[in-house]
Amino acid sequence: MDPVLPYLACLVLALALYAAIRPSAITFRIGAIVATVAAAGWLLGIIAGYLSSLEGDAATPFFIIFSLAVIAAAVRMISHERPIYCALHFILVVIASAGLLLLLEAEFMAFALIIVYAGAILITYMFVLMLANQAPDPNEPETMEYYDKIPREPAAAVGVGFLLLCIVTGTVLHGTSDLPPRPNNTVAWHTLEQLPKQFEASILELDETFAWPPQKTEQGNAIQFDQDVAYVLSAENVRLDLDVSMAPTNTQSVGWSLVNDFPVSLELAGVILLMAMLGAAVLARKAIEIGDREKRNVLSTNEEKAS
Amino acid sequence: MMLASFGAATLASYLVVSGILLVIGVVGFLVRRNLIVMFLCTELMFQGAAIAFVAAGRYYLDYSGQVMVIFILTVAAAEAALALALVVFMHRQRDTLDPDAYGELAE
Amino acid sequence: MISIMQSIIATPAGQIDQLVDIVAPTWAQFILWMPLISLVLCGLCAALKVKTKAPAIITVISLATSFVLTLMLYFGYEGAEVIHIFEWIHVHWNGGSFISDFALYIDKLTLLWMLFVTGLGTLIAVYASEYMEHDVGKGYARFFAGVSVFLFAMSCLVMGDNLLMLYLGWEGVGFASYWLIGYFYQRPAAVAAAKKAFIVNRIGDLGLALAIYLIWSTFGTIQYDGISTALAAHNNDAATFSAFGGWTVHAIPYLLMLAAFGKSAQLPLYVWLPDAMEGPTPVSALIHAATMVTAGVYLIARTYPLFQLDDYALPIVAWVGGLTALFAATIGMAQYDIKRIMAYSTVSQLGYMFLGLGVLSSYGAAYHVFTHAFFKAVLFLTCGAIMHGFAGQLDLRKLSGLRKMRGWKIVSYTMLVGCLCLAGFPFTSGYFSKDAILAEAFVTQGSGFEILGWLAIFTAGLTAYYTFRVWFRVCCGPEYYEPGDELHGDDPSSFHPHPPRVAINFVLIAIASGAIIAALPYFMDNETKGINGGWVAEMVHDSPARGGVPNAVVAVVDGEHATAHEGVANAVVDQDHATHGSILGMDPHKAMYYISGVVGMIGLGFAFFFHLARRKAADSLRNKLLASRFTRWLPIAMENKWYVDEFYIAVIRTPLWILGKLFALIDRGIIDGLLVNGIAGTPRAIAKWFSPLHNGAVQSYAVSMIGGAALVILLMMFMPEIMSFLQSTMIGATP
Repeated sequence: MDPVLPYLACLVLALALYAAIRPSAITFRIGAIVATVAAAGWLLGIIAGYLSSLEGDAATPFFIIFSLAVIAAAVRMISHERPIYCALHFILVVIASAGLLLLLEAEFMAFALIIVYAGAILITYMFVLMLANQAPDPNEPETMEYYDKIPREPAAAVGVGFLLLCIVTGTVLHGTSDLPPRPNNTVAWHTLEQLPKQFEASILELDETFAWPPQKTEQGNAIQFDQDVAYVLSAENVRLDLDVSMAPTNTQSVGWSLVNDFPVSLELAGVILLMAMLGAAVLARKAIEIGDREKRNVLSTNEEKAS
Repeated sequence: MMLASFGAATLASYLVVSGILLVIGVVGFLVRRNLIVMFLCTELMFQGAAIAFVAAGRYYLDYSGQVMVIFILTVAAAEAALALALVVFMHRQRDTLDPDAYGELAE
Repeated sequence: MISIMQSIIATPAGQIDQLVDIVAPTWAQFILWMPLISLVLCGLCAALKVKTKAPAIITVISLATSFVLTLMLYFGYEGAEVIHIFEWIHVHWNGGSFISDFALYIDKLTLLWMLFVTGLGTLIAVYASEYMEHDVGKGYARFFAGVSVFLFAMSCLVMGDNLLMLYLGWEGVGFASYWLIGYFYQRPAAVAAAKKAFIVNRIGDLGLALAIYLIWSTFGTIQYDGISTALAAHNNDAATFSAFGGWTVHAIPYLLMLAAFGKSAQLPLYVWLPDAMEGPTPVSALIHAATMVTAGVYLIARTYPLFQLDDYALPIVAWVGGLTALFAATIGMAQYDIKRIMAYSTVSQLGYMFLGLGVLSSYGAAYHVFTHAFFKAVLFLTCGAIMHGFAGQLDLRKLSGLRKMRGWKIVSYTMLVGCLCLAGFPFTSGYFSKDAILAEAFVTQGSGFEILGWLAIFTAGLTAYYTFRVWFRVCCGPEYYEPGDELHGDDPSSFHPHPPRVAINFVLIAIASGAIIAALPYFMDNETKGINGGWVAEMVHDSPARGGVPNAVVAVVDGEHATAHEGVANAVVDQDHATHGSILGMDPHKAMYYISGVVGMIGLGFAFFFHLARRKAADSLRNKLLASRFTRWLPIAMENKWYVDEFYIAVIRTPLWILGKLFALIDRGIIDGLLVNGIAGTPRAIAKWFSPLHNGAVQSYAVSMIGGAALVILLMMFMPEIMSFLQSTMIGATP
């Protein structure tokens, strides 16, 4: 039987979220958002308490800060009446989640996210918002569009959200505890092995006397593991322990994985982007009616130019 | 060694954060009546998914999770481009961003 | 003309044999195909919107070819033969078969019919080429296509070697009749008449279809030869047919009778024929007077042996025929529309033919068919010419003294010829053919045939009266006319009748001559000399289909009179004379010459008195009859056709209509409303609860989608629990 406490936290979170998105006084809203974030923190604490026997380390405060920031920004984003502020809060969400990604040692992804989302996509949103919305006077709420002021069926939406949240929580509680972590970051080392020049250079940098090439195991791997320590055996049977700093960087690994494991998907992603570009161009262009006479004029001027 | 640096914030914590982000995105998508903000909310859901992917990839020590985030970025960019083009197109016709105004296929 | 005819008849057979031997008898199939070719060409003309008289020329040429081929077939005739064209329907199964070839059966009965069908068809097509000229480029091709279809179907009917081909032709002529009656399809009356003809004929067609089925199940074949053989094998004894308990042989003649009465407009089913006069006059002349309506007579003549299997079949035919003759004649007396008078006279004359068949005088019937075809055609065609010339005027009160008008002489005198024949004026063709029937009514012993004979003689008087009523009114007396209503935009005050031109006059003279010459065959020699009735008798008696034994005893009327006169040579008749009936102590054949002549003259005299000498007398008589309370019903009923149509409407149409309404209510209320719509409505009613979900708002769809996804995930999460719960309940339930 599941413990009831996480679901109670979910309920509190949902109620707070409901309070946050209903139209009300700004102070009440801020309070509701704070309550939401507090409920989220409570939920995180409960989950960590149930599932983790580890003591907190140096990263834990950052995790707490970033995750609560993400949640706070997200709630404020969906609850703000002015679309342009929504977009700005979304930038905050992106930055905070980039911090979470940094904690997950995904440095490339963290900065790519900021560059692509905050730098490109959100700017597009901003432009469209400016195109579509007459910027209202902040002192006169009447100038705002009616559809921004009144949320649609917040109760039903929060109900669905609560259900979903319960499912996520339940899934996490049910499913993650029995997944054993792998003993070694073999993937990174194997990536290194597949980059022979870098492999040779880094080993020779470590030990100039190393007799290149190293011996290979029956599986064809040069890098072998002794518990958590990776080493190579030279031709003369000399063992050389590898330093962790020699492993490929995150960016290298992601790039290698991208081109090595997902080449077709990469091509398809390119095609999708191209089609999106074309589609956007076709959709957003203004249809200009050109009569026959104009066409003829254009043609004749072209011919004149040609002659 | 690697697992130790994962810290007290276990995979479950990251997954819960991503789940909360997803739920907030869903709720936002459902309650907002502005087409552009609705699309922003879908981006929020993408964010939740991205965090879950990276966390899981980190947990399994596999870079495929991050590669997936690259694809998410691709799709998000394409979606943003197309959706915003559509929004511009539609706004030009009706001068409103209320999705109800475009409910011509309803009964 | 007569001399030419005689010279043809006198030509030694050898010469013509040589002519005929050049080609194989299979060319006879072109009698059938020529109208079909003409149909196709006329159809092409219609499709190409030909604005000339080309369809008429095509039709006349092809029908003339058919006629010439028929003549060749006649002169080359050596005996009954089957001309096989192609295999049509061959179905074999274990222990049985159904065979119907597309084959022609040529015997003299067929030839007799084909001679006047193709001959008159040709002449009437010539007539129609002028008569229909106001429609050139519009319905002209359609009309001649219809005529071609009719000729094809009629040839199939007459020449087919089995009953299925007859049925094909039977339906085909019905269809052609529908086509041509409804020719003026803008006129509601014509459309209604066409529908009426078709529907009433369907009743008879049902009888024919059932009869064919019963014949096949009883005799195992539908070919005439096969039926004859089967009958011969059973000695024409109904009792020996044991199939289905033996009732089928008794049912067949009545079903065939139904078919014949429908097609030939006899008493219960005659109502369509008078209305059929809505069609163009050549159609009335060809289809509804001369040829198609005699199909019933042909059917009975062809299946005569089957009628003799039942003791009451032929007497019923005779009675129905005799009563129809009288009934239609009384209606004809009181009509004013000359075409309608002719229509009722056709019904009446057809009644005579059935009377002839019923009293075992099939040669009389056939002869009357032959002569009637000519004189009724000429009468209709003269009516048509008058209608054509006087802008559709057909009321005999509004036409007078045509004889003296310029250009109408030929019409008047050919009409006189037709009237004389119809009235049975001595030494005209109608006189001889009618006598043959009347006399036989007295000769043959049967249930009340003598009464029937007197009735028929009385009817002959009425016939003479109403026939000459028309002629005296229209053609004699002071010159006077009123135009009809088909003025085509002309001013009625400046109207001038336009008399017929060459084609119509030529055809009128030709057919009138034919009507006169038609008296000759009665005296013509035949190979088996001494048969009463001459050439026609030979044509009829030499028909192997009739029992397969020509000139033999084929009928058993009752036990004592084991001989009948059908196909029996005069010598035999003389031997058995003691057993024959007589009329006023004289031999009926001789006595009838005087009696019918006198009766005809009396009728003519009445007509002369009332309609020429003192025209006012007719009206005063009518007024007198109307004035008296006891007699007023007579003229009213006669003028209103004895209220038969109204009777049918009350007895058949109204109940059917009420029944139809009832069924419609059941259909709409219970079947459609409760079952169909109810079943269809249930999901709709259920869907009404859910339809608010489909409100067109994106977000409500999103709610459903996300909620559904959540439910699916929940199901997956708790699947083990659910399964174990189910298992536990199952295990708990089993013990």
